[in-house]
Order: sequence, then C-alpha cells, then structure tokens
Amino acid sequence: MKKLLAVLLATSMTATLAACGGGSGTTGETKPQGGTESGTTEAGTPVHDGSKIFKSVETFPYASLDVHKEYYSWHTQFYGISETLFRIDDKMQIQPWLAESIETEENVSTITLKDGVCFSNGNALTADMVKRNIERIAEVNARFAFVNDWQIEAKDDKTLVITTPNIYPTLENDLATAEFGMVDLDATEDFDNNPICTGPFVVDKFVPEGDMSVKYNENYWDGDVQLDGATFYYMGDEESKLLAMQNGEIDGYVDISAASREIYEADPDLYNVTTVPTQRRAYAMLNANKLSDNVRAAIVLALDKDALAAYMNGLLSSTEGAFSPDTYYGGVQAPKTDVAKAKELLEADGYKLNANGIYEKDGKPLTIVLSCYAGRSIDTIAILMQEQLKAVGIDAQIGLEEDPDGTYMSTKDFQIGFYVSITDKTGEPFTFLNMIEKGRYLDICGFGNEETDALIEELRFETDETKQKELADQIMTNFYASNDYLMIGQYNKTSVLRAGATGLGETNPLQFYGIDANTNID
Amino acid sequence: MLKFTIRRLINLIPVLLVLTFGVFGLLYLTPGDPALMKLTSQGTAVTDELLAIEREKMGLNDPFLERYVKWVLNILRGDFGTTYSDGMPILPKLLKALKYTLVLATASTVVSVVVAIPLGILTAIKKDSIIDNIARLVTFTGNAMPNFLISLLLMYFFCIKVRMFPVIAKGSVQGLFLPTMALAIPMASKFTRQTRADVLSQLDEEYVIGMHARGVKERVILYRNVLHNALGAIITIISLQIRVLIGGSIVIETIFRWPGIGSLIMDSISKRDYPVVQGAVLILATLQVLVNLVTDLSYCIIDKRIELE
Repeated sequence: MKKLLAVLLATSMTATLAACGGGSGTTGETKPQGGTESGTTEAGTPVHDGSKIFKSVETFPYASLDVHKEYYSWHTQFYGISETLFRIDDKMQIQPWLAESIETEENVSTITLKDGVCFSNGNALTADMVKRNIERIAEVNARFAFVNDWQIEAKDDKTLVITTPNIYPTLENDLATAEFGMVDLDATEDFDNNPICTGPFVVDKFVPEGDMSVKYNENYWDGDVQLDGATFYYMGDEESKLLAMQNGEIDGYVDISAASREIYEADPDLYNVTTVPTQRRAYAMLNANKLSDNVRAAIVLALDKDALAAYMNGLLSSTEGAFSPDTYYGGVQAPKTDVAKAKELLEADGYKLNANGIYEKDGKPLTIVLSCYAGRSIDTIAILMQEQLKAVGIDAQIGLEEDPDGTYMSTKDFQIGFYVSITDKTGEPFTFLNMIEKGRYLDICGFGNEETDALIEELRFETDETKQKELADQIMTNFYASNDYLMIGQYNKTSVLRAGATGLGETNPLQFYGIDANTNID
Repeated sequence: MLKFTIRRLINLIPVLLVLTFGVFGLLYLTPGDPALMKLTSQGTAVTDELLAIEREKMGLNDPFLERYVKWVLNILRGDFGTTYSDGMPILPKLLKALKYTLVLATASTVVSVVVAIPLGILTAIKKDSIIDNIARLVTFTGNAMPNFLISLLLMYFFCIKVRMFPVIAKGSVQGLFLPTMALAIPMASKFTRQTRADVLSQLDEEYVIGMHARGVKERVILYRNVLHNALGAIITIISLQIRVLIGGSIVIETIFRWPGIGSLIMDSISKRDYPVVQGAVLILATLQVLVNLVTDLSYCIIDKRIELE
C-alpha cells in the first residue's frame, strides 16, 4: 500500500516535470555583458549574418499595422517600418525626411521629395504615390477627415503641390505626424499585417495583439542598416520586463517604471538610462463657475511643482507651462510658486485662518474637491497636491472617479478636475489650443472667450514669425491670467538600454520614434 | 440522462438572455465613452465634431434596447460583430483567447489533480505524521499566497536563479510551464486539503471499520470505497476551480504573456469595447453551464444512488 502510494506520488511528480519541456533553457540569448559578432566589413558596411537582432518589448496590444488607421502608425514608425515626409527632432523642430523641402506661399505649399527615396520593394516613392497616401489617410482615419479639403497635385515625380482652403502655417508639422507614413499602395496586399513602406525595416512576423518581428530592409534608401532585425515582445507587466532585461533577454525598452529605474541606475556599467520630458502634460482645470478668482489664483501659486515632481521619482518633470519655453509659443509661462502671495489673495478674498489652520469665510472652511482618476498616477499627484494645499490652509478632499471623460469632464460638475493630454504633438500649439477654445472639449471651467478665440484663429493663419510669437504670447498671457488651468508636470519618457545597445529613440520626446538604421547592438 | 442534458441545455437560453441583458445594461450605465476612448487612446484631445461622427459610426446614439436587440439578432446569425477599438471581427479574437485559456486551465487542472489526490490520500492516511504536517504547511502556504507573488517568485527562481527557462517563453511548451505552476500551486493546495478532509471523514465511517474487520485489503478499502465515496466533494471543488479558470486569470496572463481571455476582457472593459465583453460573457456563460452539466452528470456516474431530476 505504502509502496503503491509512493510510486503514485513519484509518477505524478515526474509527469509534472516531464510535461514542462526541459533542456537547458534558452536564457541569456543576449546578455548585458555579451556581444554579437562585429558584423561589419573593413569598410564599415554591416554584414547581415542574422546575428544582430535587437530585442525589446511592446506594452500595449494592437491589432493592425495599417499605417493610416487609428494610431497604428505610432507603432509602425517606432519599429522603423514607416516614415513620413518630415520628422520632428529631439528639440521638437521639423526636419526633412522623405521630403527635401517645403515652400509655402499663401495657401499653396510645394513639397519636393528627396532623390532616391524608395519603398522596401525597390519601387520609387513618387509625388503621385504621396498624393494617394494622403487621400487614403483622409478616407480611413476620421481624425484626418479635414485633409479632404486639400487639393493635392503631383506636378512631377518629385514635386507635390498642396492647396489648402486657408493659409496653413503648420502644414509641415501635420505632415510630420506618424499617421502620414508612406505606404506603397499598389504593392501592399495586406495593409493590416504587412504594409510595404520606406523605413529601414520590413515586417518579418506580426501576431496581432502579440509579438512583432522586423528584418532589415535590403533596399533602404538612406544608408546602411546596422541591425539584421528586431523583435518586440508583447509584455504588459513591468516586473516581467525587468526580469527579462536583467536576464539579458531584451536589449532595452521605453517607459520604464520608477521602481525599475532605480534598479537599472544602480548598475551604470550594465544599463544606460535616459530620461527626456515628453509633451504629455498633467494639468488641473480650476472651475471658474465654482471657485472665485482669488481662490483659483491662490491655488495656482500654492502648488510647488518641483517638490511634486521630485516625489514622483522620475515619472514627471516639473513644468511651468503648457508648452516648452524653447518654442515660439512657449515664451510666456505660468507664474512661479509663491505661497505668501497665495495666502494674501485668500485673505483679500475675505478668508481667515481658523484654529485648524484652514482658511474659512463666514464660518465655512475653504474645502475643495480634487476630482481625479487612477490613470497615469493622477491620483498620486492629486494626493500630493492635497497635502500642499492643506499646508497653505486649503482643505482639499480627493474625489476619485473611474473615468474622467464620463464624469466630471462631461458633467462639468467639479471644482478642480485633473486631466492628461499631449499639448504639443508636432511642434505646434494647436493640438492644445484647439481644445480650449469656447465650447471645445477642454473648455469646461469657464475659460473659453471670444477675445482669446480670435487670437487663436489669427495665429492659425499667421505666417510671419514675429507676429506668431506676439500672438502666442498674448494667448498664453490670457491663458495663465485666467487661472483656469494649472499645468502640473510633463511626463517623462525613460528608456533603458543595455551597455552596447544604442538607438531606441530614447532622446526624442515623442512616442513614435524608435529604432532606425543607426540602431545597433555590440 | 439524455432528457436531463437536453433540459439543461434548453434552460441555458433564458440564462444567457438574462445574463447578457444584465451585462449590457451594466456596461451601458458605466461611465465612459468608447468613441472618446478610441480617439484619445494616445492622449491627443479630439474635437466634438469628430466625436459625434465616431459615436454615430459605432451606433452609440441608438437607444439601449435597440442596440441590445440588434446584438441578439446578430448573434443568432453567428455574427459577433466587430470591436469598437480596432474594427476587427470579435469571434476569432475570442476563440483565440479562449483556446489559450482552455489550454492553461486544462494543464493546471491536470497537474493539480495529479499532485493533489495522491498527496491528499497520503496525508490522510499518515495523519499527524511528519509527512502530513509538512504537507499541511506547504498547502497552507500555497493557498495563502496571492497569484502574482507565486508567479513572480517562480519567474525569479526558474528564470533568473536556476536559468531553466527564459522569461520570454515565445509560445513554446516552456511557456506553459510557469503559468501552469503558478495556477497549479494554489489549486493543488486547495485540492490536497479537500481530499485529505474528505478521505479522513470517510475513514471514520462504519463501513470502513466493517471492511477492516472482514479483512478486506487496505488498497481495496482505500481506492474502491473510500476514495470513490470522497470523489463527489473532490469533483465539486475541481469543478468550481475549473469554472474560475475558464474566466481567465488576468494576473497570470499579464505576467507570463499568456494571451488568454482574462486579459482580453480586462482590456475590453477598460476601452469600453462593449461588443467584445458581451461576446465573451456569452461564450463563458455557455461554458460555465456546460461544466456544471458535466459535473452533475459525473455525480450520477460515480454514485448510482444519485438521480437526475
């Protein structure tokens, strides 16, 4: 009996282990200290022997590689598959990419393509193909339906003329957004799984909502491609990414967590960590219909954004404004923290400090609800702000909502509401300014007014740089003076690469620049 | 038995109707706009006009009942529709995710049962011995530890320390081992304790004493009588656990990159992708009822005294 039981137990254990596969395990295909073969000729041209495969991870699942649909191009461009006519550099400046130049006169823009640009199948990129690509974007992507109003003409193989209904000073900015990636519309049979584009990499294997592999483009028009390919494993869990990186199974990835960052930074010989502020900002909307001018102004002055950013452990960089001061539209920034002035404003509004250290008026304490949600650490930011406001004498309470868009953003029933959005997507201010015009999505705190709207509309069609700056300064002065919006911080893009790996777009603040022809692993 | 089965399958229809209506209603009442979520998924705000167009395209402006009836009629035609988020057909997505979930559920259940039943019997027979005490400590710990902790510990030990498996398993059999173990450890702990308790209660029964007195062999008493009588309760707990597994384990699936139905549902809920959630509820509810049916039928097979009503 006992023997039978022992045999049963041993059999079941053995069966368990046998069912698990085995062998030595294939860990450490790429180790932090390890290297691949040099893979270059004496002349420095890479030799593609299949050994240089860059490995990374993808956090969000997506179902298609169709460059023009939804936001899929943010992935295809990140993987080095698609490219646009212009690109945005690390300083948010527009640079030529597939196009050499753009010349604009009134509402007519002439774009000249670079010589030698071709798709991965060797077909040349012509102006007519660019025209058809732009038309397709308007057709399949609702966010770009406005492109239907453009008149596009291919003058010759290299020259494209776009006539817009009005003067369009930010045309090249919009053409730099990833959605305007160029696809060989004639040769591509499967837009969802294998678009043929101009980038240094082509699709090797794509599992919708799963892993992605690319291989180098033999016909790349812009020089040698250093890598043989790249693989992006779909991996949603941060701990798993950390373990995979420590195990040498991946060469790097972007958007690392604060906890992982500490671990990587502890080993600077093994890992290179790069942090760059993005254009995604966290901000609070102060409802002018529910809070007095002085109270709003006091709240704006009371927040110590530097301290808040420091507490967020690398997730956020402090910001004083909606736009970078390096841009022509970022010349005016919000006032700096001034707690003394904040208190003055409250006292001028009739508030007095009570025994609990909270300002009160007519026997009622100054209590404000901070409406927030749990995404992108907004709830943590709200808690930190709560503490800072309490220190100033404002009793802040947290009002946690599951979904801001379905609650306070649509009902407008809030005192202070938090939100996150990209304020500068392509080196121009209209991504954000469009949204704060009267009646627009972010105009929920009483800001929208005809004066600022008129200035925004004037800026939209202004081509003179001096005048652009003047108008932008006026708009932003109005913006900050209203105290309806409180810019809190810019989210950081923090990337890690193992020693010897370079080129994951780690210095670019935008999410859709990743590997390119120069990406390399040693 | 056939009549019983047919009757249960017919009863499935009102169950599914009530369930899907309820879920549809809850999703409808949940704050959040799927059109807005789709358009702003990368953090860029959109205009009201665009939002209105998208809502119209997604049929979100239709009345609640109209949408539900339309959905039911489509389902009857086998058309699960397309997702809100990417416009892809829903049924292939669900079936693919379900396949992975069922593979994992089957593997973890088999491993758990293979380990737990012999261990449970052993600890019952060796009650209060060192083996029993160690097993109880291990099963207590296995039962108490949260899934995510077990998962990360397994990954740390097998992938980093021992280097027996890669962290990124690339869909191979190796990829199944760790998530299976992560699920099987707490399950086996539960089953072991249940088996032990059931076997112990049977061992105290008079028929066992009688069989011992008549000189029946220990093996016969244990496997043909005690275990047979304890199986009912064991099957119940296994069935309960299978039903939980069928719903997917979001934590395991996320940590081990296992593209099961748990992750799909979670992702769809957060995107307010109602058609996917509805389709998943329909399929999972059907499976749950089928598992229930199989469990009930198995009781009859094990114990002829049980009659199906």
